[in-house]
Parts: sequence; C-alpha cells; structure tokens
Amino acid sequence: MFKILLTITTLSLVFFAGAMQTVASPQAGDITLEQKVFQEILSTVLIHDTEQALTELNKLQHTLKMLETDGNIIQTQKQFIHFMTAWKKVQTAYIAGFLNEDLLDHPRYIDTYHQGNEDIGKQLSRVLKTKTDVSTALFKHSYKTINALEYVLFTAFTKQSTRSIQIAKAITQSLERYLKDINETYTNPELTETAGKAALSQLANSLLNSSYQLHAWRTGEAGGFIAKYQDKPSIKRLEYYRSTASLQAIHAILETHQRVIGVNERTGLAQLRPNQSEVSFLQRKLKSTYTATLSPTPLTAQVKSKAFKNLYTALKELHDAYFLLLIDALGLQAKILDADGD
Amino acid sequence: MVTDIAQWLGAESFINPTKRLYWLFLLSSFLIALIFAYYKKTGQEWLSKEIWWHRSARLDYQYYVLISLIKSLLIYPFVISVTETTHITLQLLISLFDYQETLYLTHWIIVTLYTASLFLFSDFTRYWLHRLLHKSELLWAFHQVHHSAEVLTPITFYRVHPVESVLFGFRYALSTGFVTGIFLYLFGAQLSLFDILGVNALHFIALFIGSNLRHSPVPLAYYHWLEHWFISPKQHQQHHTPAYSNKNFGGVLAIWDTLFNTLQTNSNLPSNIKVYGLKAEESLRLHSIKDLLFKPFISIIRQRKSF
Ligand SMILES: [Zn+2]
Ligand SMILES: [Zn+2]
Repeated sequence: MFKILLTITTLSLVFFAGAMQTVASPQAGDITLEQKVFQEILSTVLIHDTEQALTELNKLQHTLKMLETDGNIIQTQKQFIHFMTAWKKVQTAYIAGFLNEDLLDHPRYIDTYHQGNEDIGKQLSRVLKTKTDVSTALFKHSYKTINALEYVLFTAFTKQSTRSIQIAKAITQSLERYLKDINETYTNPELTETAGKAALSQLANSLLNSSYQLHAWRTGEAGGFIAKYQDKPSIKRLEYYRSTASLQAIHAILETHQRVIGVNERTGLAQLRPNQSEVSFLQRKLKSTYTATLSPTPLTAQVKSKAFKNLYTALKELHDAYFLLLIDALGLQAKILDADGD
Repeated sequence: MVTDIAQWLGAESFINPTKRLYWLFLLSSFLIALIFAYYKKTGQEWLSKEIWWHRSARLDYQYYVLISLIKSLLIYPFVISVTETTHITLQLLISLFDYQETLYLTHWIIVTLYTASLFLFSDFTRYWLHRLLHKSELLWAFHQVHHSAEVLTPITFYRVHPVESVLFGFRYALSTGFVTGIFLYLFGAQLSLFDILGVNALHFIALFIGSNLRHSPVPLAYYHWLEHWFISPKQHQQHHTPAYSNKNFGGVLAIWDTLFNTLQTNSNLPSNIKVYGLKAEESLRLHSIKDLLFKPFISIIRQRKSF
C-alpha cells in the first residue's frame, strides 16, 4: 500500500515538473516577442529619429552657410526649431547609453536643460565678445550644446557678427559628432541584435522619467505649480523660452511617447500587453495630451493661462498612468484574505 | 457563473496556485508525509477517522464553504488592493523625496532583491499581526476561532473569523504595496517578480515543501538548529496547544520568533501532542458555525461590561 502511494505521488509530481519545464523554456534560436518588438522600435523610432535629427542638423548647417552671405537669420531660426524637435525625439527614447556605456553622457553633451545651474547666456555673451580662436573659446561642454546654439541664434545674433555664425557652426559640428555616435550605436547589430526585455525596460524607464520631466520641469516650474516655485510663474523657466518653441518641444516628446507605446494593440510596447486596460488608459492619456499641445500659441504667452495649468495637470496624470501601468504589469495578486499567519 | 459559484464556495482553491489548498501543494505535502511515515515507521494513526471525521474537523469543512462565500461576497470587494497601496506609497515617496531618475542595476539583482524583500517583509508582518492577535484581548476573541480546533487538518487553516481575514487582507495589501512602491520608485520598469505560476517563487517553495502539514496530524519536526530558521509543522502544532500558544507565531521563517524571544523548538518537548485547542477556562466552546461567527462578538461585549 505504502509503495503504491509513494510511486503514484512521486510520478505525478515528476510529471508536473516536466510539464512546467516544457512550458517555461523557449526553443533555442527562437526570437522572443520582446526581441521582435525591440527591433521594430529600433528601426521605426530610434534609428529613424536619429537619422532625422542628423538630416535636420545638416540642413541647419546649410542655412548657417547661407547666413554668412545673406544675413537673413529667420531661415536659420526656423531650421533650428526643426532640428530641436527632431533632437527631442531622440532624447525622449534615449537608450544608447544602455547599449553602449561610452554613450551614457551623450545627452548631457548635447543638451544642458536642467543640468546644473550655470547661466549659459551670461557665459556665452563673454565668449562672443572675446577674440580667442573659436575652438579654444568653446572649451566647456555646455558651450557646445543645443541650448548654447539657441542663445547664439535667438538672443545674441546681430548682422555684423560673423563670430556668432562661426560659433554656431562649431556647435553644430560638435552636435553632429555626438549624434553620429548615437546613430552608430543604434545601427550596430552587435549591440542591438540580442537586445530584448532589458532594453525594453530601459526604454520604458526613459519614458517614465520623461513623463516626470514633462509635468514637473517643462510645465510645472514655469507655471509655478511645483513647491519650489509655488505661485511664482516665470517664462524663463520654460525649456526654449528664447526661441519660444517650448510647446513644439513638448509636442515632439509626446509624439515619441505615442510611437514607442504604440497607438493600438499591434504596435510598439503595447503589443507586449494586449487587452490590458492600463495600456489603453495610457494610450488615451497620450492622445489627449498630444492633442492639447497642438495649440499655435507659444507657451511663453500662455504661462499664466488656465490652458497651461490644464496641460500641466494632464501631464501629471500621464506620469501617473505610467506608474499604474507598471504596477499592473507586475501581475501581483490584488488581494489575499487568507490568514497566512495563523 | 458556474465558475463564480465554484469560487464563492471555495472549490477554486484546489486549482489556484496562490492558495494553500492548490492540488500540487496537497500532493507534495502528502508525499512528504509518506516519506516521513516510512522513515519513522508510523503513520497509521494519522489517517484515522477519529481525526478526519472528528466533530471539529467536520465543522471545519462546513465552515470552509461558508467562509469562502463570506470572503468573496462580503469582504473582498471592500478590502484595499495592492494597486492602491503601491500607488499611495509611490505618491508618498515622491512628495517626501521628490521624483528621482530610475536607477540602473542588472536585472537579476533587482528581481532577486525585490522577490526576497517582498517575501521577508510579508513574513515579518505576518509574525507581528499574529502576535498581536494573541496579545490584544479584543483580537484574541476573534483569533480563538482558529485556536478552538480540536484536531488539525489542512482545512483548519481556513477556520478563521472574518474579522481576522479582513486584518490579513489589509496586512497583505499594505506590506506588498509598501515594498513594491519603494522598488518601483527606485527601478521603474526594470522591476519584475521571480515567480512560479504567478506566485512569488519563495512563497511557492514554502507552500510546496509542506505548509499543509502545519495543520495536520503529521508531527514533522526539523533539526534543532533548523527550527531556529524555519517553522516546522510541529512547531505550529505546538502553537495550537494551550501550553505553547504564546510561542511560534511565525509563518514560514522562525527568525522573527528567534529574534523576539517567542521561539519554541521541539527538541525538549514530548514527541506526541495530545491536546489541541483552548485552555479550559477561556474556552468559548465553539462547536457550531453560529458559535464561530458570533461568539467572539458576544465575548467582547461581556468583556466590556465587566470593566
Ligand atoms: Zn494554525
Ligand atoms: Zn495563533
């Protein structure tokens, strides 16, 4: 009797373990869903956007060349905004530093928004006034960023100044180098071929961090909605107040969120969690905030308006929607009433 | 609808890996009992009708169906969920320390840390809630329902007053939400749980290696040193005797009992436990479903009056 029971019990346990094993282990050589989704986002977002940013940068370099002869800054300024929004897209979904450690600090070499608290305007006006060789004068990383470029093209530009054009050109060269590094990383199969789940969670974290920055930095600070600047709105805290292009920046960022998450169940990260209500909730939030940033009025003229406050609130809810999605994705048992302490 | 009703009546527990009565855990416990019986050359008496058809056991079976119904229809909808507690923890952390960019750590380190923290913190709060159920006179009135069992079978695990279930429900949501909130705050989307069939792997292992023997006639004790780390089935059975009910409050781990001086190992105790249940003088005499549900309230009212 004992031996029969023991045999039956052991056999059923072994059978169960075997069944678990076959369910759990994927076949060698199979591409996981995560790898497939990553490849898709890599080509449609990461590589696409980096190449786009390089194209816009080259166009900007071209207008700078024209500027030397015709002195018409408007064209260059317009092109700056095209390049800037293209860069925001690269920055929003940035994971090149995860794929290749050497590129961890590249976003900071390109963009100083919210990095440290140096007054780039004051420092650059000094650089513009001196006669030192351009390459020596731009010795600091922050002098070669997109924010420095904005200052040179929108605040400091005067028709007489060939020096500001020289400096602008030098900045674009530096930006080009970093963007090329990023592009090389994304297009290097050795770095991306096996990327899957971990890369996607880095990507999701980039969006999570970005959604925080959207409400706390990009709108909250200027509107005086956060504790540090409570009720003290100031347009100078907008990301691109010099070029009055802050809204376009936010718009570009949200557009990237939409493409990475996917607009339906068959694109982007949403493929990984079909039928999950938190995903569609996030998608709806993304869509509504995206639509809200279609307004033609620059943020510099809106900071004290109700619409701006609404945008801030919507972006804050967006950040929350990300967290709710992450909580749900953990798949924890919602409630357990068993008195497991007994 | 049919599955809903099955769930309400507790039948779903046997196919749900988050439940202690999941068929696999019953089977694994049974296997362990068999091996133990072979090794000890005893075991006949564990199958006796005196135990499994004892009036206390029969009451447990009936009560199990009723409490399943009460839990799913009256309690479950009103207990806070892990989503809510995690969300609250996150908002609290952000308001206290501001939002921080997510940290990067190798995936398996995060998963291991999270899985272990969740398990440890949960076991820790189980210990304290259980200890509180014994120390507080008010709560003891409810916890007596569990301790009034005169024989132990795996179903006795569910002989718990609804008030105690509510407390454990909140304990689960609060402790899980607290740990999860902290980890999400630090690591964001990199976070995931090391699970088996959707259950925390450590918890699954604990269930697999015989947690159903805690409430059973099988007096499985561990080595003396091991009982300082893990609560053996027999240690919990000791907890069900009047003499040692203020010992061994632990769930899976014995470290809390060791740390807070409530541990009782089996090495210097008589090998066969005879009496389970309450002390004669405090016994509420809980012999029917009505008793189990309502007598705790009556005893509390009496307590209040006597002051
Ligand atoms: Zn017990
Ligand atoms: Zn107890």
